[in-house]
Amino acid sequence: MTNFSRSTYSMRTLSFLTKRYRLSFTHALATDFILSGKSGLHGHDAYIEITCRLSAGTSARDCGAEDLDRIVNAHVLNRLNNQHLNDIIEHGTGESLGNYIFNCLERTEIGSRLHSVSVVETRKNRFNIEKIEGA
Amino acid sequence: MPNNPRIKTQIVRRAYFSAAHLPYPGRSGVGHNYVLDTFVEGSVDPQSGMVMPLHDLDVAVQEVVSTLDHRFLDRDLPYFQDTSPTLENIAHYCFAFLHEILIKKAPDLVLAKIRLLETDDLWVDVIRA
Repeated sequence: MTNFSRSTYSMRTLSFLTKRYRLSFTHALATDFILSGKSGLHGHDAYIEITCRLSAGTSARDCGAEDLDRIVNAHVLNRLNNQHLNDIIEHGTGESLGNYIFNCLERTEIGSRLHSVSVVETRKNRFNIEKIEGA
Repeated sequence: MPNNPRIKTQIVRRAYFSAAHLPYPGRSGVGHNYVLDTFVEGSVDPQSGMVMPLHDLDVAVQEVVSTLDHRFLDRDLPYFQDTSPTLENIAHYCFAFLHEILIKKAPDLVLAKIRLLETDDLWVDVIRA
């Protein structure tokens, strides 16, 4: 029988909840135009991963994963899904998209718990936007 | 969009290479399809909206990957003459080589991390301390 119990486990830990959402969009990058001379208009079936910090002793349910769905839908997906990014976000790059999403969500009720936003554009590249703790 | 000083932005780019190595002296070589994830951190350039053009990052990563792809690491790379090409050591080689390239090409950027996967369930992270 194991001797492990909650009382013997005193290490401090951090917990995070991440939810992944599908986001489809089109965009055109300035570098594509410079390299090829063409508009470079293309699209992605991307994913965004939203990570929130959990308070000590809370579960994913306590954190309000359903609230997260509601907020992400209202502030991100409804605005950006199936849109042309360059019409909404300057440059329309993955970096700009990640920063835009982070800034949008930071102003909502999950803002204080928001840890990071990742834009998974393809299986070969992603953009991570992460809060600098203590900044 | 101005940079938010309270957040950091990373590009993560994935590349692949296949290589062989000797797991133990006296045994025959084994091969793997390695996956290399490169994490580059920096501020978003206000002109381009990018931390770094992906094409430039690809060129830097390929410079490293081309030295490893389809090689027998113990025999073909001088770096591994005295250093066993374990997953850990290959990861350190990738980090050091990429750092050297990026510091010349893009001195404002930080190579924050590389992740080298040998299989789906085994990988090593080398993180800038």
